[in-house]
Amino acid sequence: MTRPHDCPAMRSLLAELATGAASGHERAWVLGHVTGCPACRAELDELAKVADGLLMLAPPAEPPPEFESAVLKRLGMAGSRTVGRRYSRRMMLAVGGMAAALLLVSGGSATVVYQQGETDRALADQYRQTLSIANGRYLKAARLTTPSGAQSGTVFLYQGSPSWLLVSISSAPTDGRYEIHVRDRGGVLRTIGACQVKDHAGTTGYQLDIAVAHVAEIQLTQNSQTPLTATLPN
Amino acid sequence: MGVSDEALLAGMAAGDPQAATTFVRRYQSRVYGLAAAIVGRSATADDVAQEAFVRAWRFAGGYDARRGSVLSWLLTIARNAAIDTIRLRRDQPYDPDILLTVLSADEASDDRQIEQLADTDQMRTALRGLPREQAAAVVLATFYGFSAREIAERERVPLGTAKTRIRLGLARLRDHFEVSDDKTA
Repeated sequence: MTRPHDCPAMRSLLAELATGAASGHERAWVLGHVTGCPACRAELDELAKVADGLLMLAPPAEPPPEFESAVLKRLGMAGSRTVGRRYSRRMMLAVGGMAAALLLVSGGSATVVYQQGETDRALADQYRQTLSIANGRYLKAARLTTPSGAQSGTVFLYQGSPSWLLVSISSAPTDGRYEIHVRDRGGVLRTIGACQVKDHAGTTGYQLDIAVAHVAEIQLTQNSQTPLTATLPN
Repeated sequence: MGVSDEALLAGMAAGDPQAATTFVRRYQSRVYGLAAAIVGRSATADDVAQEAFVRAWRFAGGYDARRGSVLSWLLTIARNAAIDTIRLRRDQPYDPDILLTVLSADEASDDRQIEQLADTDQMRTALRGLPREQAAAVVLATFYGFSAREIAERERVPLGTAKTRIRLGLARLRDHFEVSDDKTA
């Protein structure tokens, strides 16, 4: 909880938070404080603007000639055919989101509820229908937990074409950006995207380039720390 | 005056190829320049800059005009993409002294926003005025994503000293460069 006498200690950490140098523990501490302390929040906003302003000092440089077309291609806007493919992928993610939403009951914060009698059976029917519509094979879910074991959300993995991962966070320890990493059963860790968390909650989805069966673990990191992990059983 | 950055960003997010093309053309040199400053001029910088635009497209809904300009938001995304690359590939980041020289050099900028130019000049002057060790600590954290502990190890100083350098350095920059909320309103 925020206490006025915390402010002097916080002030010394605000610059570290603004530049990204604060450790995960310190980030949680400071963010918890500034939520209830307008003075420290204003100070943090000012310092963050200064830190962001430093990035403006990087001198402009012309990228390679094919840069623009490469970006547009990645955005699926390089031609009508790729536009269609990108939209279909986005639609897949949207469908994925809807499928996962079938397993979510949201009431302000996204709380996952599994065992609910008739509701659960209805959800199971909808789940099977969704899988059949998208020619999916199965949907896996695993708890996203803090190092102390507290559940902070859920990850959903869909095996289909394409396969995808949906991360739903309902009670993250801190707000901000979390990098999403997938560790396969061979131990290889790859970064696949990020999830923006606001008010301790956030949801995002990405296409998976490996089979769901090969995924051993999902890690969500913030400033090199790994505050959230989901382990997939064999 | 052309289409606003905000309108282009919204158009790009909605899948408008023309808006996306204009947006990329408008900011590709700034994004690539920042990527090159962090990871060096290479194919990696190309990848990082491309990734920054992809993330901007993906997370366009998260842009909040009250918190800063589109360019500032975009450069923050580019910085994060560069840091991700450095960590993932375990590349050795550039020496902070080299980056400090690049950042402190006078720039014949082609930036179209005069107000932003004035701010950048102020920031550059402020950075030049910092003691080297404070400037290095701020740059290592801001551009390379180093934690205070990593800065302490790299600079071979106690953790408390690294923390003090970051705090004093950023405070001095702030004092020199008076941040006005009016400018970002």
